[in-house]
Parts: sequence; structure tokens; C-alpha cells
Amino acid sequence: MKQNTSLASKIQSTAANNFLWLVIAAQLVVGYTINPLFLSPLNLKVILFACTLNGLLALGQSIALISREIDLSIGAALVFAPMSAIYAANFLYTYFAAQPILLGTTGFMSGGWFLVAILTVIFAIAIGFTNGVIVTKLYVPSFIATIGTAFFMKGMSNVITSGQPISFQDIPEANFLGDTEIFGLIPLSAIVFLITGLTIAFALKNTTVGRRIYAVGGNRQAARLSGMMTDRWTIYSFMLCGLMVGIASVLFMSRARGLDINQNAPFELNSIAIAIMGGISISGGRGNVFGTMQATLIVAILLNTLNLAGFGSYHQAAVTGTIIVLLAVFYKIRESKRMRDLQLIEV
Amino acid sequence: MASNQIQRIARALNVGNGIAVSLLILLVLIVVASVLVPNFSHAQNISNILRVFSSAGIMAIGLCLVMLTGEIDVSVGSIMSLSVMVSTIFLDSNEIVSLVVLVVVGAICGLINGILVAVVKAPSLMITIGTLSVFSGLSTIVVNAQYKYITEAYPVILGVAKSEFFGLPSAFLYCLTFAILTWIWTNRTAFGKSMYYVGANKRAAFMSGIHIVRVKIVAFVVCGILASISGMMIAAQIGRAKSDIGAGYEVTAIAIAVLGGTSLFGGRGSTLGVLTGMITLGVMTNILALSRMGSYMEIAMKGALVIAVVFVYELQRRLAR
Repeated sequence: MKQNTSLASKIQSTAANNFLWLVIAAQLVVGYTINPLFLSPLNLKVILFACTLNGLLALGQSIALISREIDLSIGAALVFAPMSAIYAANFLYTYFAAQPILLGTTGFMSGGWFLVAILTVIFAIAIGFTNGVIVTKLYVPSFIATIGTAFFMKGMSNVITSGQPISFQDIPEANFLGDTEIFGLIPLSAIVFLITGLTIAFALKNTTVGRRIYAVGGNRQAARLSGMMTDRWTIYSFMLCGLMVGIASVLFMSRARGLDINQNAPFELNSIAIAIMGGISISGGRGNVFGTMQATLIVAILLNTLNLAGFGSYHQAAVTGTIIVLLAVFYKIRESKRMRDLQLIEV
Repeated sequence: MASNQIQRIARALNVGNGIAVSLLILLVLIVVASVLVPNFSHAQNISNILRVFSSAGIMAIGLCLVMLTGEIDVSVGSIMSLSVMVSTIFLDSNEIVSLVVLVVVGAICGLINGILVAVVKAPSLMITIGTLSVFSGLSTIVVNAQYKYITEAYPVILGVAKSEFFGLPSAFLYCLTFAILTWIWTNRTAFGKSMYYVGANKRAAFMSGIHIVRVKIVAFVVCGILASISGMMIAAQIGRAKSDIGAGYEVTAIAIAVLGGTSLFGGRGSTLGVLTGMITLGVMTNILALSRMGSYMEIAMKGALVIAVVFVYELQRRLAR
């Protein structure tokens, strides 16, 4: 009898710990029943491609959320960083090689992809640094600070480019990252996402920076009183978030073979939704990025299934929203149960 | 000695829960504007500022109530879209009915948010991001992505939303009325005051017997109602109701509330402050528009200015400590 209950509780706890894997498994079954083509290699490839951009942004958002901040500027940074990188690279080429790479008003690039890619990542980190400084040194809450920087970047990228899309069609090496498929099945960008995610998961758990970010997010006052430079670790978390945005925008450019300034997709909200689905607590200091990676897969499969089932984008928005609400409620009920077990009174 | 004086000045600015600071910022902006921008102080220009931003101001008043209780509602824009689109279905049969439907839908959306946030106690940012998608999806689904033109055929709505009294646009008068009424509510009645208490210290409020769930639900419902009203004002002003009418308005509303001195952490701010915040944002946008930088430069500068203004608030709060 006792054996039985312990077995039951073990199953229950395993299920609770691997809840997201169960969701993914259920989704695969549902997807296959709706449309057998769901499990075809081509469709799986589509799902993996869909994972990378949202996944990398959600990783960045997770890091920001863990440090008890929020970054609403990632959508704007996703185009502002590569845009400024392209213009900086163009300036460098014109100045040192006397050969501009951005061809006049046509928006075609004639070379310099690697410089652009490197500068993109550097600028994205710099944007994160700026966000961090505004939040910590100017005391502006991150919610407002990053909305402000997002407006600034959105406006400036239109001012600088005059809304002109930039194309990499003429540079063959530019498509390597985004378009390569290993064995014709697994996109290279998905591998990049996987490696980045695992590295971040490792770094957050095993390095000083990671542990400090968790500590600062969990209880800033306690972290400061135990001698941590909370401002510095907050800035680091924004910079890590910027790094993720930088990698995402390089992959994005490479996949799209160009850069369109007027991106209107709600990247910020998607990334927050994915991070929260993955169990990152919005009140900071809790959750891990494995959850975020699983949630990325869940969202990609969900949207794909809805597509295959013939739903339009409006229905997709409604269904995604419902799932976010349900998951939020689920996580909260689980946390409330934990607090009741600890006999804490929840207000 | 000098730091002592700075602290005293900063404390003096605490008057009226941030109203003093917001008025000061507004004053500085207005002085700058009337010196630098030639046509700023023209009566028509002032009236335009008030007309354009009052609808968002009405929404921000509701949002301010939610923010006072320490929560946030990012779904206000979608509530606006959904309630306007549902009410347009009834527009041709009876205008009064459609206005009632408008408010009822807004209230129901607010109630859903409020129940999820207050009863389940899930974080409001998460919940309202979810309901943002749900409501905006539904607003397109209920009308099959069709437009509705709000023309002379609907005299009641146009009369309510577009008329002028004493040279002031009616939208501004509603905004003013709502701001004063909610200010009296939150500062002079026991139930209204408890919004501040819940936001400032939830545990203390709970211990002193305040029904936190009820306070939060009421705040969300009022927020939903005000969002729906502002939606109809905007629809009447631009003469067309489309299902993405509220998209992005949540950012404007949050910006107005924050510029008016409402704290994102709850318990601080006032609805009269929101009124000044509304005018501040209006004046800011107007200065940038009249200085002919171009609309994108305007967006960029607006972002920088919002950060600067919030910095001033936080500086004052820190110095007053």
C-alpha cells in the first residue's frame, strides 16, 4: 500500500517535472491526428525554422526576466542593431578601402557580410548595455525604459534608412547560416539556437555571472546587503539579452537575405509569452532556460498545427492567448499549492 | 547643507501624490514650447492637442486605477478593439443599445482580467498579455475583419464624441469629468482609498481587513469600461471602426499614466496627475510635430523624452527620501 502511494507520487512528481515534455508529446499526437502530413520531414523542418528566431529572443527575455527586469526593446533592437551595423560597416569600408559596400539608394549590399555580422552582435550588446545603464543608473523602471529605447530605435532606424529595405541577394556567403540544412533535414540555425540555449543554461547555472543574475533577481535587497554590485549584474543580464538579440538578428538577416526596417511582428510579447510558458517567473529569480527552449518548441508546434488545421492568424492569436492564460493560471495554482504546503499565507 | 535644502525642495514636491511634479514638468514643457515653437499658443492648436489625446487620457485614467492597486493591464488596447467591434454590430439597429453593449463588453473584459488576476492571483502582466491576444483575435473574428464607417447616419454617437462645449472638445470634458470623479472616489471614499492601500502594501492591507480581491476586480472592471468608452471616442473621431483600432494604444495609455506620476509598483499616483500626464504627452508630441523633424524623428525623440521625464520623477522620489 505504502509502496503504491510512493510510486503514484513518484509518477506524479515526474509528470510535474517534465510537464512541458508531456505537452509536446500530446501536441505531436494531436498534430498527427489532425493532419498526417504533420510528421513529414518537410513540416518538421518548417517547425524547426520557426523555432530559432522566437526561441533566441525568448532566451534573451528569459535572462532579463530572471534578473527581475523586462526588455520590451528586443523587437526594435532586432532591426536597429543590424541596421546600424550595416551603416557602420559601410562607413569603415568607404573610409579604409575607399569602396562603399552599400550601393547607393538601391539598398543592395556588395560585400562585407562578416563585418556586418560581427558588428551586429556588438551593437546588440551595446544596446543591452544602454538599457541596463538607463535602468540602473537613471532609476527608470525597465518597463518604461525599454519602451522608450524601443521608440527611439524604431524612429531612428526609419530616419537613417528612410524606410529602405537592405538586400544581401548579391552576397552568396550571407545565406550560409540561415539556409544551410544538415542532411537536408535539420536547419543550421536550429543547431545554433540549440547550442546557444545549452550554453546559456550552463552559464546561468555554473558561472558567477549566472548565479549573480539569479540572486539579484530573486531578492535585490538581500543581494546588495551580501555585497553584490547589483547594478553591475543587472547590466550584465541586459547585455546577455542583447547578445541573444544580436545572434537572432544575424540569423534573421541571413534567412531573409536582407533586412526590412518595418518589422511589425510583436516580438516582445511573443518572447515574454514563451519565457513565461517555459516557467520563468515574472517576479524574478526563478525558472530555467531549458523550459524556455521547450516552450519555444511548444509554440512553434502549436502555430504549425493551427495552420495545418486551417485556422487563420486571428484565430491563432485567440488560441495562443488562451493558452498563455491557462498556463499562467496553471503555474500560479502550482505555486499556491507549494506555498500552502509551506504554510505561508498568500495575500 | 545644500543637500538638506535639495531634500526639502524634493519633499515639498511630494504634494498631491506626484501632481506637483507632473505640473512642474508640464509647465517647463509649455514654457519651452511657447518660446521655441511659434504657433504653439494658438487656441486652435491647444484645442487640437486636447481633442487628440483625451481619448487615450480616458483610457489612462482606468489604467491608473489598476496601476494604483499594484497591477498592470496591457490588454486595454484589445478591450477597446473588442468592445467597439461588438458594439458596431448593433449600431444599425439602435445606437443607444450599441452604446450599452459597448460598455457591457468593456466591463466583461475587465471582469475576466480582474477575476484571473485577483482570485487566481496570477501575475497581471502574464494574464493581460494572454487576454491581449484573445481579445484582439476575437475582435477580428466577431466582425470577419470588416470595417464600419461611423458617418452622419449615427447622430447620437457623433453628438457624444465629436461635439464642442465652450470651445472645448467634448472628449476633453469627459476626460476631465472622469479624472475628477475618480479622484474624489480614490481620495474621499473608503473603498476608493483602499486602492492605494492595496498597491502600497498588500500584506498590510490584507491584515487590516481590506477585501483585496474585490478592490482589484473593481479596478479592472472600471479600467475595461473606460477603455471601451475611449474606443468609441476614437472610432467616432476617425470616422471608422476597424478591428485593429486599439492596437498599440496600451503603450500610449501606459506612457500617459507614467508621465502623470503613476508608479508602476503601485500605491503612488493620482487620476488628476493622469490628466496632466495626458496634456504633457500631447504637448510633447505637438512640439515635436510643429518643429518639423519628420514623424520618425518624432517617435525617436518621444522615446527619449519619456525616459527623461520618468527619470525626473524617480530623482525627485529618491531625493525626498
